[in-house]
Amino acid sequence: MQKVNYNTISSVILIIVACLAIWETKGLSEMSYVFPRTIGLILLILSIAYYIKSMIKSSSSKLFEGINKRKVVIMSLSMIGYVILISLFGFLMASMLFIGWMTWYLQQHNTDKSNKAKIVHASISSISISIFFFVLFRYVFVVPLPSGLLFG
Amino acid sequence: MLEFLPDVLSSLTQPLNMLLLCVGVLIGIVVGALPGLTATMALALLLPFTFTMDSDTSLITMGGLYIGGIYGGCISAILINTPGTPSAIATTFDGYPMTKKGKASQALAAAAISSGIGGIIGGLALLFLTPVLADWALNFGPPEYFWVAILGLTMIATLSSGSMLKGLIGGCIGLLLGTVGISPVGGESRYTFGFSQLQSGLELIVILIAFFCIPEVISMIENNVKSQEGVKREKGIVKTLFFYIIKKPFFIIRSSVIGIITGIIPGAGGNVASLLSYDAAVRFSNDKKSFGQGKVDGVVASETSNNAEVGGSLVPLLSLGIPGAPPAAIILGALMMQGITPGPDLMSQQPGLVYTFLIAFVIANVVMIMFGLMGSKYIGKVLSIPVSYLAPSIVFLTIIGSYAIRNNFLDVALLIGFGLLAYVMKNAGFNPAPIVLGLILGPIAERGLAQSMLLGEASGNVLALFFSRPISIVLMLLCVLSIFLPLLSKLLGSKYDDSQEKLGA
Repeated sequence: MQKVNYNTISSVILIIVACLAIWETKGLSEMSYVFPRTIGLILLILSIAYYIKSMIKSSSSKLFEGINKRKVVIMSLSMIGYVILISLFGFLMASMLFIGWMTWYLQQHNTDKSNKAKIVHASISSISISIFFFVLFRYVFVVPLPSGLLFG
Repeated sequence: MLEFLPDVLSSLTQPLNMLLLCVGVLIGIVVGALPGLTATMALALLLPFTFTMDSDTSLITMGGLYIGGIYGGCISAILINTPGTPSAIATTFDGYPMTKKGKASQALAAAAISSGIGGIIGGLALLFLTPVLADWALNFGPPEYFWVAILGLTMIATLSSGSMLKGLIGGCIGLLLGTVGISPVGGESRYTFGFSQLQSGLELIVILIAFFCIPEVISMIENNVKSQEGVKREKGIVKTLFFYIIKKPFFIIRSSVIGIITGIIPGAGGNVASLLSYDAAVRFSNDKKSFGQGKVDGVVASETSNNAEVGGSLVPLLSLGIPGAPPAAIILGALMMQGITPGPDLMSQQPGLVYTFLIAFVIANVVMIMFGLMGSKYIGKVLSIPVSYLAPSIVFLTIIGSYAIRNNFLDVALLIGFGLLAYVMKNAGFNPAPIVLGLILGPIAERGLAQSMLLGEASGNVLALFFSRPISIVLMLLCVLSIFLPLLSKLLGSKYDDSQEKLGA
């Protein structure tokens, strides 16, 4: 039996997405459904072909092979956290926290710097970048930036 | 064209416009030089800075950035064997061996001169081809627009790197994303899942940033910047190289034409142009074996072509409203932010603006040569900026960019959501380019399809409207060719690779 690989999983997800896309067009008028339903059907056919191909020609490579998964997961979670922080504390404070944390975290493998130096550099970088761009956008370009639920 | 000269001159003689053109080129070179930061990313990151500018100033700045960004990629390609942008991939083949031989200064100067010449030829093609294509496109009706959109999709799906099946699936996903919001003809909401903010559809720029910037920034944290070789100063090298290059007009024109044609084809970006041009240079050379060992012709072929591609990629954007390459898609977003819809009507509605941009584009290439010759070795110093400072700052700028477009917090959440999805998809072999082009072409294709159906129903024969008009037939044939030619070239390509291996090339 063929081993299930990421291509098989991706094709199954795509088949579900295509079916949902077709299902969602139910009840719409012809002019509204003709295009998305056609594309949904084409996607379904292509996804089934992809599924068959993945079963016949199994790929030996794995998803995220040779990638430092820990770093990628932390970076991804930090970005999600950044969005949540913006909604709570506003853009400026959330940016300071995000840039400071990420700069410090990404310097972990740098053995030339002491931990204190890393924290100082991360703090200076986060405060200066955040304030510079906040002032530039807020007051020079007059672009309103989110102030957050707690300070809004 | 001459009747618009007063408009063009009044815009280009404004000190602010000229200053921003130079700043755009310079920032483009710096960002393009940083491995992991592509020209597309440079444009996407700096897009929010142009929101408050006048349309001509915004376009001039973006044009300068695009040109600088593509050129900047060669600096890291030459100095550290890592292309700053994918367009500079073929520059590494001979650029880095030149650096290892102590000829970095020569390689950088050759890259600057050939990029500038290629860029100017691309700019001239843009200047003369855009009005012709726009004129032709004025004859387009809804069925033709439908076929143009399908042609764009088939081309990108087949020409983008990786599997054709995945490219086509990506294109379909993009088309579906393009249908989110109120139907352009039927007027009903689709795929909004109760979010009223989605009724106007997904914001193009947010999706562009999500698909082109977030995966790159996550990938960046994996890359370690290599150590940089020293750049020795060599006197009189610029003059010698300049005459060496211009004494090869056929070589330059061939590389430029490859770049321009590749640029015009939607989806085939600068990387394809530089590889094709390098390949042609090797094939037509009498001294094939010296390529890859540090031959200046290799750098010239790659750089001439990838900068000529910039002009080519803007031809379909300005004349049809279809971007020829990912950075051109960002310029499309910038134009739409200014309330300008690119397409055949743009030439008739805003000719002054278009010609100002086209002339500024040529000037930006001259500025780029000057910056490249004077400062590429200093710009090379930015390669040592640690990723720990760059990556968080880029995420920060993408958040500003996506929020500032319409002050909608949902856009920020969508940016991160789609960005993470794009990263996973990219690792699974789904190139972001077909998805984004699908998103851009989706509404054009849908409007074309729905309007053609209405027209067809009124005339009593829907199929005849799609399949009997002369331009539609030509476009359909091109669609068929674009699907089957890559399959054919794949077959021929494998034979060519075999023969190259035998030659030891």
